[in-house]
Amino acid sequence: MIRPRGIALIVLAIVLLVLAGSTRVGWLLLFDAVLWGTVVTSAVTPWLSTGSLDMRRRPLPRDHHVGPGPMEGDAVEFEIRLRNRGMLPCMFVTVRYNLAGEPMERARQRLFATWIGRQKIISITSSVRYGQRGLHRLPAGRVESSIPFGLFRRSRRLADPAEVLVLPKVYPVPPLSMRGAAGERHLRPVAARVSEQSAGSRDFAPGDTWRHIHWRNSARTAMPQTREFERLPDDTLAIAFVAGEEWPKSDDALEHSVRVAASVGDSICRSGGSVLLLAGQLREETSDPHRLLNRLALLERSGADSLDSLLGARPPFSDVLAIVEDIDEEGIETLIRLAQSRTPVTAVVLRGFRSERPSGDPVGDLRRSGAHAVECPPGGIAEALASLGSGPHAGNTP
Amino acid sequence: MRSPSAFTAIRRAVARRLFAQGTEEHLPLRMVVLALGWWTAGSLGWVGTPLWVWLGGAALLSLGHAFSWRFRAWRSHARAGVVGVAIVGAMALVPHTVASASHGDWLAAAYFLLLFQALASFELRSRGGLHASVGLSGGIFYLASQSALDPSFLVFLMGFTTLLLSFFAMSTLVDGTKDADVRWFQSRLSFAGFWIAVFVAALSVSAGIFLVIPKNLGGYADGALGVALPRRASGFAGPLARIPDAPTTGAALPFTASDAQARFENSQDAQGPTAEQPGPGGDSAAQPEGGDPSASRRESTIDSGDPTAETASPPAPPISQGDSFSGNSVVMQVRSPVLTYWRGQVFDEFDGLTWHVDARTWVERSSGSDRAVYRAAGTPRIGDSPLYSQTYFLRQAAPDATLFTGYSPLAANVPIAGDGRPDLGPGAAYRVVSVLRDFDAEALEAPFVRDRVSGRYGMLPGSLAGLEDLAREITRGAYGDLERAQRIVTYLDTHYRFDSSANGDVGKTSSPLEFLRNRSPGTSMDFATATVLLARAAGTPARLVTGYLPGRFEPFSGTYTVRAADRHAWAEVYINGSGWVPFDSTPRLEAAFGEGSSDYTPGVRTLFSAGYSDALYDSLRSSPRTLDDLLSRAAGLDAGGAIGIGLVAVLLVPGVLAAWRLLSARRRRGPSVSYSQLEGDGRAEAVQLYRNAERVLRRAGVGARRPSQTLLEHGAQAESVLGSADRYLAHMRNAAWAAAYDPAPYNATSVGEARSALTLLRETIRASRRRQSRPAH
Repeated sequence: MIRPRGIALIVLAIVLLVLAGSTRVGWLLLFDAVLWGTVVTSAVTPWLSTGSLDMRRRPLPRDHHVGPGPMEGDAVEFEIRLRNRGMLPCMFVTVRYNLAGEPMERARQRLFATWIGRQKIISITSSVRYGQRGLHRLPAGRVESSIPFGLFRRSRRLADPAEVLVLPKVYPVPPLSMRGAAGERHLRPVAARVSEQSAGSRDFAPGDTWRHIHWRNSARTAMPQTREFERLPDDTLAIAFVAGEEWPKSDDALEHSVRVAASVGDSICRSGGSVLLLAGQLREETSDPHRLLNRLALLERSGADSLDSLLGARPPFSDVLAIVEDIDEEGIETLIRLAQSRTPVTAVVLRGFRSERPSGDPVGDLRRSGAHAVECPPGGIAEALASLGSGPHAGNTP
Repeated sequence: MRSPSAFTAIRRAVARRLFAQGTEEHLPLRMVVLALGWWTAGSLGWVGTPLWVWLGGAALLSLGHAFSWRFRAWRSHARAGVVGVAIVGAMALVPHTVASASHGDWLAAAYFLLLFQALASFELRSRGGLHASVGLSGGIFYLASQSALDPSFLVFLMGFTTLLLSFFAMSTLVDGTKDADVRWFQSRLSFAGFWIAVFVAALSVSAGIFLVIPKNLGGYADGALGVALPRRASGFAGPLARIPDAPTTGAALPFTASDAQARFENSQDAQGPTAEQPGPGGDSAAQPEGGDPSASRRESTIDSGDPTAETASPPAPPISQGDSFSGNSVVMQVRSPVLTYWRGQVFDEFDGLTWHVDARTWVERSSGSDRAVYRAAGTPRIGDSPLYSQTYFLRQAAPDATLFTGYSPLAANVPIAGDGRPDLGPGAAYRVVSVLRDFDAEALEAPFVRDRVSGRYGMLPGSLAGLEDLAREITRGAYGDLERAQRIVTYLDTHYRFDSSANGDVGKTSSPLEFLRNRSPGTSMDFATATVLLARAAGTPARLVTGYLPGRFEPFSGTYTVRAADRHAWAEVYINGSGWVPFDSTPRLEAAFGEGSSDYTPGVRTLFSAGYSDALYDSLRSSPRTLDDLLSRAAGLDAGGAIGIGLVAVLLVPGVLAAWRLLSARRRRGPSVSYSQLEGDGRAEAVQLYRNAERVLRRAGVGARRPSQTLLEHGAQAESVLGSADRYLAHMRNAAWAAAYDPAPYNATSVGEARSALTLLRETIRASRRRQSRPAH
């Protein structure tokens, strides 16, 4: 593709050709020939210099001690490998590797390589930050060259179907204390509600409490092992929030719901409990934190749902954590009804995400019905989760 | 909201490009632009611009670049206003520039552009400004090339091309590396090798393109203009046939030279001299009014010529022998779209010994302070004939202030000296506008028209009355003036030989009768004299013209280089209805496009011919002399020139100092910290900020960091001086260390913090100085 500078030079060359013809001044003719030579060289060289370059982008594995990820807001380090498969070297090429996130450095995800020999590979690393959960399919990269004089530019697409799964952000969650309707029944932290009967052992995973290490099996296998326990039927925590297409419309509210669910679910799974996710089309019971976060990362709006229908699918006697908007009167009603039926209910009420105001006091209503309700304004997830553990039974985790 | 008009959009786009706030921070790019400016200014000097003009302009340009670079962060309306006022002031020169350009003095426009470029460089801030400066350099170089007559200008052309391509290449690299991770070549040698290969490839392609590029696009190959040579004998018209629509004398001649000779011999042997037989249309029409009617009735033969003529000394040459047009040196160079003989003086009366100059040639029409416009006496008919302009560059003083022109000149714009007389010394250039005459046979045939021509163009001296019989024999049965003249030319061309040893020596003439009778080799003066006298004897008005053959075409400068050996004389015969038509009877090879003669079309082969290579070699060899001439001219300046030299010195000294300071500042940066091996942008800036801090420390009295000193050691050295400001230095040191050595991903926010720390460090040191300088109460 010709660039403005190239257009200007070609116009100049044509004008000079006419001038040289009319004045018959050989200097002009000679210089005009040089201009045309420059134009031709500039038109050909980018085609030759971009060569047969292909690109592979790969997120580098994270350290285990950092935890699962990457999560929203985490830096993701990519390795970008450029391979010249052609018989000519690639010269002075600009590779836009396009990781689609927010670049962490001032560099705009570009590599300027002066020389990539034939059949040679170069690799670089670059870090980006993704602010949104989900499966990020990286757009194709581009290799460009406008060498030597910037009159023409050849740009070629570098197809590389790379993708990176960004998990929802997990906030620290205090030991949970969920108060029952009359206060006499506690939704016990799942780690404390496991049966005393050990069902076996498995490899130790980061996050497992050291108190459950199976020392004997660890000594036998020379690998750290942790105990597995039989679960009680009511140890599953049902986490429900509305993610239907028709309501609520606020994406911000949905993302807050996902983050709250991920934070609480991750905490419970790591404590040995299990979680039943109820959102949109998602009906997933798991005790694996990675699976939980993967499911939440990929959650999209779909179908029509309401809190009432979602909670209808939970196992009987299971505890409930619901994330609900303050204007979702129907959802609030459902939760109040559940709480009044002495079901342990914890409600995270999303407040202030839309311009409409609730007609009453949903949080107060919930609390009066016996549910443990906390408010979560936009950006207030950490505080809301912290207040989950500030109830009268806080710190009951064994 | 109303969308802006196209004009507003363009204006904004131009303003954004030229006056963008983003300063072009790349110093090497600026240096290339500055070098380009110097190079074009130098090329101006090479083509004869006074020293103080080009050197002063270049120095002012350097000063502007240094100023705008040194104070690039200083953005004020006052500065832009001062520069704007200076530029507007310079615009006052535009009318003078336009007037000079209309007179053919394009260098005046180049001076203006140089001044404009230098003034604008004081406010040079953006890439668009650099591009504009490069464009101005290109314009100046174009104007210089119009005055470049010497092949050694090729050196300047190559230098200009190299610098221009370097600018493009460098700006491409700057754009590519900006905000990007950069992987350079492993070695500088590879880098240099690549670019050398690119330049060689580009120039090779250019050479190939030069071979195939159309050479006459927009020129005169369409036949509208091109050739207006004297009519010649048929035997030398061959090369003309190559040129479309060129007049070919042979095709117009009814008789060949051999026919004419046979007729002449037959008439002498069998019939003897007879009375003239008028042709169809009546030769009386050819009789100039006011001429001597008895001249055609005189009875005389060549053999019975005036005996005194044989013993008389040869006729005095029409041009004094003492002129400077001697040897084979270059006399002048002519840029002309039309190939003609360069016509000089006209001679009308011949007393048997000497030709006398026809003085009524030019009439002064208007005069300015340094140039005057002259109108040709007896303005020729223009009709539908095209006009063309020629520029004459004199390399030697013209003898007797002769104004060389093409045929049928209309007006000349000539430089004048202080006394009001034409200044036609070495280096003078003047323009002539002429009418392109059509010498085609059909156009010249107008036998029924009778013109009034002064009788002096038909007079024969009494001693040469014997020529009439010969003229009658030659022109017997001829139809009209044109055919008579052609028969005479053919006769002379066929029966007489050119004295090649007298090339260009128009002074070497013999008696016309002796020349005609003895058939000895003659000069062009002999041939021309014989032609004129025979034509007059045949009753056709004629006159003699001296001047130059076209010379050799120099394809680079687009000029015909005329040398002393090209001196020539020929005849002009008055054809009724058409006016004066040149005829050249001299069988001179150069005059007939023979070997070594001029070629109308500047062919590629000319550039690669050995002759041209020799010319280039000679030119380059004489370059020191040319330079010496330039300096000598500068040394011989008048008071105004002395002021100019002083001005140059005043401007040059600060410019040199500024350049030296810029370069030394770059050199003083000391050992560079290796940061390029680490990933992440912002590292270079963090290290640079620490270098700036070191500079601040040096001003504060802290010694420079030695190469062996670590950042920490140097910081400890500064601690005693800085006091509380040490923490800012420590912050910058940490940022620089991390940028230089820490392989962990670099946090770009550190750069901003380091920048703030540098500002605080500066302010703290200034405040400390102020406290120290305040008198204690």
